[in-house]
Amino acid sequence: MRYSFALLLFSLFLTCATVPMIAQTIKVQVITKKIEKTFQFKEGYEVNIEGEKAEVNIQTWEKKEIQVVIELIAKHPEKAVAERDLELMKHLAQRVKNKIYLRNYLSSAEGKEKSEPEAYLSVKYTITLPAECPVYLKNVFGAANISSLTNRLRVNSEFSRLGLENLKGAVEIKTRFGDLIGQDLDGWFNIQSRRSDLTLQNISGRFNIQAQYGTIRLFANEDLADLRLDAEKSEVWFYHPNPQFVGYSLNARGSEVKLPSRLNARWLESDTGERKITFSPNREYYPNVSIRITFGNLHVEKRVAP
Amino acid sequence: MEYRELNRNTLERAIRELPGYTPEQELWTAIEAHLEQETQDKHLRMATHQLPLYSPPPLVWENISNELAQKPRLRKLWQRPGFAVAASIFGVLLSVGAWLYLSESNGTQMVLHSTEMLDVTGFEGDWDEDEADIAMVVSMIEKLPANENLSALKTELEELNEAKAVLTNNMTQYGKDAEMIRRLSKIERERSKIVKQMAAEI
Repeated sequence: MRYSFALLLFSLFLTCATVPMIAQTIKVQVITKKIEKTFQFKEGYEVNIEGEKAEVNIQTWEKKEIQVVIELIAKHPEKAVAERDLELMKHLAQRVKNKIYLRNYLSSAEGKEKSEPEAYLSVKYTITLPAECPVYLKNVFGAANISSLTNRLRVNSEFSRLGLENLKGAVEIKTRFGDLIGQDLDGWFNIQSRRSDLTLQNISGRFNIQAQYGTIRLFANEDLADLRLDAEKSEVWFYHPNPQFVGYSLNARGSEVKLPSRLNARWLESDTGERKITFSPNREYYPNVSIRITFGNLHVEKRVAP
Repeated sequence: MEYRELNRNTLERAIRELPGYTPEQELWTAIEAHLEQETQDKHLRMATHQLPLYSPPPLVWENISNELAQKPRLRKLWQRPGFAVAASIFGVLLSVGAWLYLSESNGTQMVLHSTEMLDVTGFEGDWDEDEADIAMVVSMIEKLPANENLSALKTELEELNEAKAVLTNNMTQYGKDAEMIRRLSKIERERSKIVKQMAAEI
């Protein structure tokens, strides 16, 4: 009996010792400075955002106004510390000529050379604007969700998650060390991605993508017009409802390529090990897909309706 | 989108029959003159910024202050209806302008306080524990004869090292959170892969 109890205790000790992490939660005081501002929208205006550690949400409405809500947030177990460090976070929301500048940054504390806050700091932007308002967003160490824009959008994102939904128009994205997740995208898209993963659902229009070191999943619909993808050291999946009705120009070097069995195409291999394939369906109109893959893998598959 | 023209000859003939136009003779001269005017304006604007600034003598401010202190002669203005109407319109416009300006420049601001539970599991920074071993592998690689693969691995490692430095610096500034640690973990996994490939070359 004593032996069994000792064994049980030992087992319990082993269980505790081998659990890698024990959940730790702490109670924190949250101090939020909320700024609300509205700008009149006129044709030619652009919203220009530079966020740092910011969660940016951009949505549209019918009004000819640009509404900006900025929340500067500091969290710390001690309220006084949270309040003190909140003051280190500065913001700017100002119109200069036809640009509406929105910024946040950390300032140095008085008497100190470099700010060293103790609190957890973050920023949240909620921007509501007309669909036709052009937007430029630069974001580092944060996240952004952008929906329903129809004009020009430029995004430069680093170490951030970027979500796009229901976008039209000319879109230019640069992402580094991030994730790009898109849904219902139709327009002229130009994407440069490095060390980022891309998942784009229900895409149509024209896409030009350059990617290195990423996992790329593209789900096209029938209205895809053009896709040019240059992927290096990346895993690529391209899905289309009718992959046999697409014109392909594929170029692979040091890569595995898997095509649908219904696609009767023959590879041409050069002396340098580069393989090429071109295929045109027997139709008057068809989307053109041009993919160059280097040291990666490419899968072309039929898209199954969800 | 590829396009296969079924009636190519018809299309080509139609294109050939399209009328051609040449721009007017004065067009380029006008564009040149316009560009020159813009350059001159730019120079003028730059020059105005470089003009020296002079402070007026204190007497000037005193005189202005004295003039302002005097009672305005409103009665004379209202004796002329034209001036009165113009002044009213100006006043309304000024009010609207001021309202528009102030409505953009101010906005509202408030400070809120609440409490919440924060999960800080795994926030301890153990990501520098293997730096000495990584540095050792890199120093051994440095002694090997250079080749294309090794230099590519070194370049990749440098990029990842830089990304790690930027990320950890940001965590010092803003504090750690789950998303940042997830990103750092991904960078660390990629660094590990490269270091292992480097070690295999030794």
